[in-house]
Amino acid sequence: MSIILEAVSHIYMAGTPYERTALNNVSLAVERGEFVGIIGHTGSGKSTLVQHMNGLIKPTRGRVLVDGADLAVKGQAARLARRKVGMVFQYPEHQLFEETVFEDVAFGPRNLGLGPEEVEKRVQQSLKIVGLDYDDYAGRSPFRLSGGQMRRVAIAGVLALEPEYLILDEPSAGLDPRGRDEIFGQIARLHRETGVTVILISHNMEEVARLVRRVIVMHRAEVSLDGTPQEVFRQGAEKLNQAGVEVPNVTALLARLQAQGLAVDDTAVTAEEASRAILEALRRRGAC
Amino acid sequence: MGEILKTENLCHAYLAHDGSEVIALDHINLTIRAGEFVAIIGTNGSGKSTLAKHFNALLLPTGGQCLVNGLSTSVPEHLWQVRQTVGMVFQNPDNQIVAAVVEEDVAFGPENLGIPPAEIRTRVTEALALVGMSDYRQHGPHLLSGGQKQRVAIAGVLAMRPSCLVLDEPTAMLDPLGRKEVLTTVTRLNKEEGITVVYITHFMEEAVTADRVVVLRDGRFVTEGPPAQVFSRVQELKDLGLDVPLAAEIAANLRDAGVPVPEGIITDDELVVALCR
Repeated sequence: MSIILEAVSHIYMAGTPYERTALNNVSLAVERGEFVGIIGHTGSGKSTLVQHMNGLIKPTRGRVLVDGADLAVKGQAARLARRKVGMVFQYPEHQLFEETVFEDVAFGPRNLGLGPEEVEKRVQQSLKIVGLDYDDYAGRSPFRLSGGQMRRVAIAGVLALEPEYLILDEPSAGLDPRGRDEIFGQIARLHRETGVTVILISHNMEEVARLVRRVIVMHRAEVSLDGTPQEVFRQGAEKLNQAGVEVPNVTALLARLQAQGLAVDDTAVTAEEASRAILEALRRRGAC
Repeated sequence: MGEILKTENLCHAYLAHDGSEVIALDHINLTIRAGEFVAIIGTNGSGKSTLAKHFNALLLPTGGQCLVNGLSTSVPEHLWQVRQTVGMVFQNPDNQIVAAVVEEDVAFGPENLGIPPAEIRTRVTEALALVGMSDYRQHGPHLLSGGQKQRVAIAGVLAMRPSCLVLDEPTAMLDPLGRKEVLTTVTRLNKEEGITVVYITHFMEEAVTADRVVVLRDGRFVTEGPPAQVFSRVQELKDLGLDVPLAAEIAANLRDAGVPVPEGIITDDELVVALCR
């Protein structure tokens, strides 16, 4: 059970002066239950990559298989497979359109042909996951909410489809630190509790390092690195640099301390862990 | 140099959808001197953007007053002067670009000021040079990156020759490289061109570069001071729902653990020097 890309290439506006290869011969597999971060510079092919995963874009060459079904082959199998993959776009709150929060979240499940009771159950569950109180919010206009709340309603709308694979394209962009922490916390909990596969595009390296178990770095339409956050951020410095991706602040700081002769363990991903590592290093050095 | 922006007991209230009054700004007293680089931080709903909109009279005070070069924004006759003094840059570059060619977009402001064409050309050339976008003069803005678009938006404001730039989360929608481009451009405009900068941001590593940081919460003034002073109050900022620079947080943790780390460390450089001397 997985999403598999087999030698996928995608060329935008082929045959025009603006022709551009957005994906070049990319092969990769995301297994059920994984939590994957995709990072890369703007224009590196991240969004094009994930839009292939639910058939929004079709490969110019190669195949995309979701649980074995080729998304490019018309028919029931591809349609069902695409439904398994839920996509939260950048700034998903721009897609809110209904008069109430309930109606907006209910739109997807209704289109799946579910009955009123199941729809209501799904709306309740989805709002709960994103931390919005059903009784308080269901009847309100989504357009009267704060930016962070609107974003959560939009994410709930995708969760209500109960996707088996959840793709989020920069879910924290434009949010304040608290809103960002809440969204990432909810995604992490959802992954932990339901085992849903999560594929997360983010520019926030701190969050990627902390949350995911696998990082894919895109560079110039290709996969340049693929591994655990530790492998990618600590050993891939040169390739990350080429890809125009910054290592997390914590990793960068610890590397600099090491370079200056402090024998500090550089596996920390949070400020607390880094503080402890530095403290231990200082104690070993005995200077303090 | 004198005071370019000043708020005196500035209040802003509006009616919520249920008819109740929401106080977005509550007696704000703030003075910004010409040539300063001031960062304003606070969570969503703290009143940052509302305050910014008062600086060029997009919003008018419902109590107290806002002065731009000593002129009250509440007086309709002052509007042109206020808007020429203070230029605004917003979060989304796509909402601020009006023309199909970069140079035409930058010319839009001066054209509307009724400036002669020859002078407009000079200004466009200058403005694009200031943001490092001269090579893109004939490009279509839609083919630029986010950071480039935002620099074009800044050039469009500069072409009106404001003495103060107010930027409301100009990097929120950009990737790390675009963020760096914009911050470098704004810092240079401040240091080399002497333009006063009011910079609203959620990114604390950007606020660290300011001369002064102002913290707002729920429409009220919380504190202000040089970055080293404000960001040393790690726990207080975290309680407000804000980030602190990593170096400041680690320095605070080490201090709590009894390591003699000097006060006022907010950058990696300072921390590395303090720990590895």
